Amino acid sequence: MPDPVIIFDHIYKKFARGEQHTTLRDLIPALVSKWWNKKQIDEQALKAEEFWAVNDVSFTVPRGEALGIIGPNGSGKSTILKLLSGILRPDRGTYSVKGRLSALIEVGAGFHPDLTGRENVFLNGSILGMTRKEINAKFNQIVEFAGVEEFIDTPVKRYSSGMAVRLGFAISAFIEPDVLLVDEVLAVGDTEFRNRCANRMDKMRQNGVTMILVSHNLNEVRNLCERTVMLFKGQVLMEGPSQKVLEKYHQTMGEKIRLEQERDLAREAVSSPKPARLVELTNAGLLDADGIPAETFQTGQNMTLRIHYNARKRVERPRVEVEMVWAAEDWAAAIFRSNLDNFQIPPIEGKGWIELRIGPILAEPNVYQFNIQLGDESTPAYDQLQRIRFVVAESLPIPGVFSLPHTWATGTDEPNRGTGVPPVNPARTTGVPPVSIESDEESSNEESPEELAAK
Amino acid sequence: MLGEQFSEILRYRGLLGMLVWRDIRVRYKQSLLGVTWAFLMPLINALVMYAIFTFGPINLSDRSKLRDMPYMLFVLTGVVAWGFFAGTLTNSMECLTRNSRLVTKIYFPREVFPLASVAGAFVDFFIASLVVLPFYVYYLHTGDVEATPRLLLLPFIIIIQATLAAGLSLILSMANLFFRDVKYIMTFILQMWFFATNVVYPINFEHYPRLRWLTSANPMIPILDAYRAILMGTEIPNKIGLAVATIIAALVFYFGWKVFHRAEFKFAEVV
Repeated sequence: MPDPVIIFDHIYKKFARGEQHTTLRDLIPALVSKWWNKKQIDEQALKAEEFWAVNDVSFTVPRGEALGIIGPNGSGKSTILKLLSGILRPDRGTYSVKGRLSALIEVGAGFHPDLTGRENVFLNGSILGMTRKEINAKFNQIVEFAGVEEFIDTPVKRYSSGMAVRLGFAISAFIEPDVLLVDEVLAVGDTEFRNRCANRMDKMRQNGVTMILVSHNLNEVRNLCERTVMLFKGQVLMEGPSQKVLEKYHQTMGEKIRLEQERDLAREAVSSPKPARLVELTNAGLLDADGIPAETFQTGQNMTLRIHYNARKRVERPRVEVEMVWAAEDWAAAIFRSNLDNFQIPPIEGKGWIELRIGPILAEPNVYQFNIQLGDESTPAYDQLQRIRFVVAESLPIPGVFSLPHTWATGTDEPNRGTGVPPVNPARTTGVPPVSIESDEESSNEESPEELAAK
Repeated sequence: MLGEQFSEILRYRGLLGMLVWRDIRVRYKQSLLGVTWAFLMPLINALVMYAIFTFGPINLSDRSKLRDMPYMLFVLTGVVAWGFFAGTLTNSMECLTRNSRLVTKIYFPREVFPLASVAGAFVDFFIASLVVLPFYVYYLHTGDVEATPRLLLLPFIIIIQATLAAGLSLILSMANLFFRDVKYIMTFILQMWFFATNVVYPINFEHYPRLRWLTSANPMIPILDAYRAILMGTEIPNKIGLAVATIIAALVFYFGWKVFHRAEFKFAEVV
């Protein structure tokens, strides 16, 4: 590979689970003996409570290339960035970064609320390793980029949170690094600011800056990165051209989720049997359009969530709430409530099932999970089921977070003719008909995806 | 290794300056008297002590116990110099925990935080020293003290004290990151240390010769003695004690620096 700028060579990093309850009494002798002996006391063995956050990860990035790192939460993405920037030190393995390294991150962390915007720019610039001269030269650009010109001499504590975040990013966007690490930048700020960040990153790319981009936003990885590394539980599952890795990502995630869910269920059955409830959600599963159990769904496909219950007492007016959570960020992308849809579930008693039929899925390819609860007017939740995970894989392109049913039309302005209403030519209908919820007997009102509401 | 670390610090000296400037600016920003506090506080402290030890049951106006030093000057030097020392330690105690978000997000040499605490306390010390000046001039006038070339030794004593304080800052800031108890324990230790040091009264063990080594074990005693002798224009007493203090300061700094760099990479995981 020509001229590698970043070399990450068989890196291991372990973390401890939970709180570390080391005491002063243990630490001091340990430090002293370590300092005197300078002997490696088998640092590579895992103690109980420890796990490999990064497990034998290797990659190289040549000059001017961008590498994407994807993987579910806890797969070690951010840890790799922290190792690269020197905040953490690996337990095993070596790495090297040629040239000046910088991270495009929200440095609002270093803001002091009592200092003005101007003062904070200088403070944070120097925290990021810029000299006073550099900051002076870039100052106007930074302020303009953040769009806070009017408030630059106001203490940051009077800023809106959006302004503070923008100013925090703007500073790091104007360092001139050889290597740029980007961690989930575009997850914050408004669209306009995100675009500005994306443009800025493009510009840096053109100037030959080498980049590593960590993101849940798979579209962004596809657009910016030539190659992508897929991580799972600290290990590299796959590395290669972004398009290929992203395809594989959806597939693999589906399998992993199935295995994980089976294991979770097995463990629950053994270790902690649920306390017997009067009304119990016994199981839930996902079916594809042909009624076959599935964990992976293509965009545009239909999906059925079948919820099994066991009611040991009669529930007259049951209601079901299903939350569809974007697993990466843990926020609800859509919420389905049977009572909001004016669908009255008939009284339940004994064992049975309730189905939520979701029309074409027009959400961003990613990992999602359902959280389900069953209740009635007086009791919000008799029982709940969580973490029913599934993957949306790409077949129809969904460029944003989700797509809405829509049509396009054109017309010409000819003011001197007719009624003045421009003639409309329906040009093409894209997307698929609106989502609807049905029961076996009756169908209820239509509704469009609710992702927006969750934002 | 040590050289590399120092040169990295040099590269980040701009940041060091910014942090010191931030701390000072923030400390006095919303106060009416601003920086005036930096010398008002030691002055008030000294006046209170002066009142207690002049009109109270323990009378220190007898100069024979003070090596002929006027008590007002004695207590002022004590309070100002001790303020520098105690100020550094209290500032540095929380410098890493307070900036935890920076520590976990951005890389830069972490020792800038404790070192900035030392520098910040030094700025306060410099301003507070101005309080001593009018009294010094007055006693020069009355002939109680004498200006001699020994005054040139002052920077060296300050460096010894600053080295000691910096070493302790490195250790304490780190210790408090791992165990928050350190902050509470240090409150008591600092208080006892104050009473075991000749800040507002002289300490000698002339009636207990077996305990005399204690005056060398506490490096702050010979350091304060040296400040006063330099101002008085007399020979520095207990030169061995001062030499021991210098060695202790250097060792504490070296040990603190080493341990700090060993543990540095754990900070982001623990904080």
